[in-house]
Amino acid sequence: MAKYLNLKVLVPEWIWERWTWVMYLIINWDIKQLAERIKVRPDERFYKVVDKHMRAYLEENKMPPDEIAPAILNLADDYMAGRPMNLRAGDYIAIQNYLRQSK
Amino acid sequence: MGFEGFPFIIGWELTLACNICCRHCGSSAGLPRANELTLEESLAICDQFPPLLVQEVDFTGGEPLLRPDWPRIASHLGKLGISTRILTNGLTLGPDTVAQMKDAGIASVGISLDGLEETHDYIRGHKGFFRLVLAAIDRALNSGLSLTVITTINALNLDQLPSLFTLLHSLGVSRWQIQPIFPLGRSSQATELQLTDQAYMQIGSFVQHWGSKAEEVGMEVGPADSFGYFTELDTRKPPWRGCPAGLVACGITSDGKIKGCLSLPDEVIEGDLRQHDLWDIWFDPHSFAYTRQFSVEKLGPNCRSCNKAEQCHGGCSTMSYGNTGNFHNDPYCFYGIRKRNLKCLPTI
Repeated sequence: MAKYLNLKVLVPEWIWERWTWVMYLIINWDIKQLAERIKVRPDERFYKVVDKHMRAYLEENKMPPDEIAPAILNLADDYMAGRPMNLRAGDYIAIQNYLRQSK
Repeated sequence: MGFEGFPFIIGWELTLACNICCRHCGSSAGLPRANELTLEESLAICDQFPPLLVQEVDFTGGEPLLRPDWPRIASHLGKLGISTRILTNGLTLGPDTVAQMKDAGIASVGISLDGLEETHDYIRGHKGFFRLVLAAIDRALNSGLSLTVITTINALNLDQLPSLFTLLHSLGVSRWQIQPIFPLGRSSQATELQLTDQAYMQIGSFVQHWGSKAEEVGMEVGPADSFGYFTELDTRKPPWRGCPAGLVACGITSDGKIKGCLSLPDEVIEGDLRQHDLWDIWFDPHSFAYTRQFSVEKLGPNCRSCNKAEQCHGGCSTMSYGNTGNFHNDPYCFYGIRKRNLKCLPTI
């Protein structure tokens, strides 16, 4: 499951429309390249929690904690279907919040 | 569903200290703030950025290079995979500083040039600074640093834009960012610098006309924020959809306060990094209400009857607040100015 190390966050479309208007300095980034750039760089805790609950769900049929259940189930769907592992922005935020609460 | 944006771009006022007292300064920079962040605090703040998907940090001030530990902060950001840019007045951009920028992995540097010699030096309040800035520009270009020259447009330098274009092109500058003056801070006292409606439209015409000319010679003339909207004078894609402050960007003041945009005055603060993590401030449902909780009922009189208001949200928050004391009420808008002036025309 090393794929989890390269999780990508799917950012809502409206964000790209706004981003190009932030101008501390002229940027020359292509908007599609920007979208490609947004990859989660998980720290160890993030990776561990995703890995732990994915394994528990996929291998032991154990439901993740309520706070992150939708996120883990969405990832599991991607994994089972052989799709790239994409994290919806809301799911990413939920996992980070879960990590912060369990510090 | 909660808010799902991220502060991809962060403007960071490293210090409010400045070695110049510019007449147009919206931050009234000069002295440092009373209790500026220490290096340790700054590095700890950097560590909060990766989970928030921060992509770019722009060091501003004051004069950010007056803070001796800026290379440590920039290097730390680099290790976190975050690109750093610096906006400077150029006065201290000697060979050593240029080398430090390269060592620290600075992605790009912005140097301010605010007119031809007499005007630039008048705005800076000191003769000779124009020549020092030209030397800094030359040094940055020769070092291979990615450079943008930034000009804040006011009533005194507006007519100099074509000459400035020629000057910058002759120096080898390939990116020139122009932005209208905000009537905030020290600038609000400088009545001789303020732009009229007509002057603002003139900036639009300049960018439209000279922007394409610039492309022909391999130069980019780009307007910054507070420039637009919805006319042939501003054809940027995607079109303006409202102020991005607090939606995809935010600013950090040198004493650790969070704003949606650093150009906004200090009363528009969302939180304090000495009391809360950036994550908690950013995702607080009450934060950045002026952009996140926009509704057409909040439009001010300049924008209320505009048929673009639902898309525009009332223009640039800083321009609106600086000029009228309210958000969603930007008086400097090509579309709005044109409509207002059409109303003034006598009916036949």
